[in-house]
Formats: sequence, C-alpha cells, structure tokens
Amino acid sequence: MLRVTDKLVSLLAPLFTITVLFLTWYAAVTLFKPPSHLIPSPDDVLLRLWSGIVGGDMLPHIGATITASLIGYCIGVAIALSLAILLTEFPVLENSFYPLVLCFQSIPKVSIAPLVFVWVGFGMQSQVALVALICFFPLFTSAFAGLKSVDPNLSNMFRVSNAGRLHTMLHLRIPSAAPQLFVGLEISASFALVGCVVMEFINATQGTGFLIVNSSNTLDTTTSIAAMFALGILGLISSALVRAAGQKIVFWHRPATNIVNLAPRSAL
Amino acid sequence: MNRMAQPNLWPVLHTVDTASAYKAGLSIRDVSLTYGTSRGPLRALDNLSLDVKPGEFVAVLGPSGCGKSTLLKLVSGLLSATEGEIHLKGRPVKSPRSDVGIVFQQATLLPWKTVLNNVLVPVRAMGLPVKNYRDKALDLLKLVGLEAFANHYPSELSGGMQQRVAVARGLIHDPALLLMDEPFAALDAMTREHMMIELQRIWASTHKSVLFITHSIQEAVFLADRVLIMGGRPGRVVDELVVPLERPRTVETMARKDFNDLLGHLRHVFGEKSTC
Ligand SMILES: Nc1ncnc2c1ncn2[C@@H]1O[C@H](COP(=O)(O)OP(=O)(O)OP(=O)(O)O)[C@@H](O)[C@H]1O
Ligand SMILES: [Mg+2]
Repeated sequence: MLRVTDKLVSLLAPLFTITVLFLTWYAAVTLFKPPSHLIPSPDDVLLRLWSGIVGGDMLPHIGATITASLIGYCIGVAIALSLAILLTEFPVLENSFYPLVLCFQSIPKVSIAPLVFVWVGFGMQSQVALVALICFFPLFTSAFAGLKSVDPNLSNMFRVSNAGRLHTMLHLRIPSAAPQLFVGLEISASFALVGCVVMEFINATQGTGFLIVNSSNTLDTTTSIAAMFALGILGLISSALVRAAGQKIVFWHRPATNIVNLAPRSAL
Repeated sequence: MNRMAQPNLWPVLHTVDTASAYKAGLSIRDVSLTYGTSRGPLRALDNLSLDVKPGEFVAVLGPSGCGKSTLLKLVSGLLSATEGEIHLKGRPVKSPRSDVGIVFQQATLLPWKTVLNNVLVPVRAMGLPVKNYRDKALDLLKLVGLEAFANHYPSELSGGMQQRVAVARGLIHDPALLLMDEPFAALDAMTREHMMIELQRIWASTHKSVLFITHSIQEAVFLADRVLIMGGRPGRVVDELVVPLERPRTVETMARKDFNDLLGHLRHVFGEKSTC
C-alpha cells in the first residue's frame, strides 16, 4: 500500500511543479500582456507544438534531427567502444594513445564545428560527424574506466582457468564494465542532440535547430519555443530509453544514487 | 545441511598415504619470491618448502602479511617463483593448470550469471563442453546443499551460500588439488563453524588434496590433517603440527579438551616463533 502511494507521489510531484510553472507563466502573460514575439503565451506554444506535430510541418525537422543524432550516436558509440577495448587490452596502445585522447577531451568539441563543414561538407553528414565526435568522449572515458576496473580476484579466477583473451573480454571485462558503459551511453545520448542542434544552427536547410534559427529570424518566437520543447521531449525520451535498456540489461546492478551524477565529466 | 545423508566415508581417510587412485601430491622446494616494488625489492617468501600428500588436508596458518596469498598464487601458477621449484603430480607448475581448483577469500561470483552458470565458469573458460558438465555442476550444488538455488542469482544468496557456490566452482573441473585462501574469513562466526563442518564433509567425499590458508587457529586445527605455521618478513614455515583428532570432527570436538590443548599449543608457538 505504502509503495503505491510513494510511486503516485513521485509521479504527481513533478507534474504539479510543471503545472504551477505553466499557470504562473500564463498568469504573467495575461496580466502584463507582453508582445508575443518577446514572450508568447504557454497555450499558444503548446498549440503550436500540437499543430506542428499533428499538422506535420515540424515533423520533417524533428525527423532530420532524430536521424542525424541517431546515426552520429551509433558511430560515436561504436568507435568509442572499440577504442576503449583496444586500449585496455593492449598496454602499448594505452600508453601511446590514452594521453592523447585526454588532451582532445579538454577541447570543447563544438569549437570544431566550422572545421567539420570544411572536412565533410554541408548537409546531414556534418551533423552526423559532430554528433559522433561529441558522443565519443563520455562513452570512451567511462568504458575505459569500466574495462580497467575489473575485480582482480575475478580476473585471477579467469586466469587460473586459462581463459583466452577474447573469452575474458566477452565474459568478464565487458559485463563488469556494463554499469559504467550505460552511464556513458546515457550522457552521450544527452550530448547527441546538442551536437546536432549546434550544427543545424550554423548551416542547415532542415532540422529542429534550423527551425529555431529560422523562426527567431522572423520573430516567430512561439515556433522557436515550441521547437525547443520538442527537443526537450526528445532528450527526455532518449535518456529514458537508454536508462530503461540499462536497467534491463545490467539487471544485477542497483545504483545507490542517481548514477549520472557520479559520471566522469566531459566538456561538450 | 543433510550431513546424515552421506554414508560412512570416513575409513577412506585414514588410508590417504596409500590411496594411489588419487595421486595428486604437491611438493614445494626451497621457493623464494621477491616482489619488485617502488621501494625496491621485497622478499615475500624465503626458502619455503612444504608437501601436500594426495588426499591430505594441509592448513597454512600465519599472521596477516606473512606471504600466505603469495604462496597460493605461486602454487596456482599466477606468479612464478624467483627461486625454487613447485611440482604437482610430478610436473612443474609454471603457469595456471587445469588440475588445480581455487577458492578465494571473497566468493567472487559473477553477479550476471546464475548459481549454476557460475559453477560452470571454469568449464567455459577452459573451453570444455558445457553439456558434459551440467549434471556434475548440479551434483556439486547438491553436495554443498544448494541444489534448490541453481537458477538463483548470487545477490539472492547469503554470504555463506555464495562461498559454498565458490567451493562448488573450485571443484567443477575435478582438480586434484584445491587451493583455498581464507575462504571463510569474511563470514560471521556461526556461518563459519557451519562451513567448516560442510567443507570437511565435502573433502571427505571428494578425496581432494587441499591447501587451506587461514589466520584462524581454530579453523586450521578443526579442518587439517597437518598445520603448517608460517612466520613473516620474509615468509617461511616455522613449525608444523600433526593434528591427531579422529574424523569426522563435529561441534562437540571443538568443546573437547584435546582440541583446545592443540589451540593453546599453537597460540604459544605463534607467540614464540611467528613474528610479522
Ligand atoms: N603485488 C605485490 N607487489 C608488491 N608486494 C606485494 C604484492 N603482493 C603482496 N605483497 C607484499 O608481500 C607480503 C605478503 O603478502 P601476502 O598478500 O602474501 O600476505 P598474506 O599472508 O596473504 O596476508 P593476509 O593474511 O593479510 O591476506 C606483504 O608484505 C605484501 O605487502
Ligand atoms: Mg592473503
């Protein structure tokens, strides 16, 4: 019984704050009547979002952002995982490449955005490239740390059994690192949208970022904010998906606190 | 557990020296090991010699830091000796061997595998056919009294139960020699006593040679045929005690005078010779 009420409270509490926020916003707008290009009314924003999705005029933009982010995410994740596995498996590679990766990590990744256009050209590939780059680092650092921190007793157990390197990697090191991997995957997922939107701001003919820039230029603030909301919802969904997958796959791991807070920080 | 279900295996034990069917002698001769540390070389073991006869239960008793785990790593082939030789069944131990099983201080089970699959970990790692060992694994789980928990995950087991899974895992590939590094040190006193009795029973029914490392005098005397006392810095064997108590030893044995005299004797030896 107590469990159910607890769950209900934890579900209703954020809904309550959100409602209060919207009501305050609504009251302020009706009271002070600011021009809608400065602060639009919340019901207008929600209606705009609704019509943009149901009417379909926002969908191609949102779709473009999802596609580029997803492809970039997958590429970044694949590279980060392979590199982390290679570096932790071969000490020579670790010694020669790890310091280098750490150096690159401290560079804000968005600062490379203009060069990305020079290197891969305009269009979706530029978004994919920056997303992949941004997604790489959080996952790489947590995967590296996770693969390195295998319980020495467990590795001894595998060694006494004469386990091969591949076997040890698949059955010991990767599963041991899995909780950390999912921390990285979740941070990377939240970074992916940032990378994509930044590129769409600079140069794109489509995408949610483009929509925001474009409608701001025509003082259509309602559409801008509606697009921002769409991005927020995308962000929520993507991290919820990764977290749910993590809880399902890493079923044996029960994080004591919100695990993302313990994650290694990585500059965007 | 169902101790009574085991038939009378005890007569076998008194013929260990002649039990040629289970030849698995371990011989360690003048072994030294020096660790290279940041503060220079550290001699962890110095000219250590010992033997474990086939089917014999030998306890190595020593204070913390005197090199017990180091000794075990040498025998398991995880480390190689700086000097000296280790032979098992007449063949030198140079790297990990499949005729050795190991149980660590912590149960070290894989939390993502069921109890049954944890017992099968060495089988998979050695590339042996799993299907041939599944029944064996279930038999071993029965032996340690956990047949009902085969499909549970380690997190659903108590510390003592996890440690019993680790014992079953150490025996799955039928090793001639079982190495145990303070396997019950992390358990509470009650569970520990229970585990000592369980281990004696398992040993009696599997006829393995056991090299059992501990810093508990009581554990050593209760379990072993022979207790080797180690002294530290550098580690070496300083004394030896043959335990004359008949088997099976029970909770009542622990209350007996001759048992407690042996404990007293060992405490005395510890005070005199074993400094760490
Ligand atoms: N990998 C290592 N590198 C350097 N020195 C080590 C290493 N492992 C152990 N030592 C040193 O060797 C000595 C013996 O260590 P060992 O772990 O064998 O002791 P132990 O008898 O098992 O102790 P405990 O009962 O606390 O487990 C200690 O002084 C320790 O500091
Ligand atoms: Mg030790």
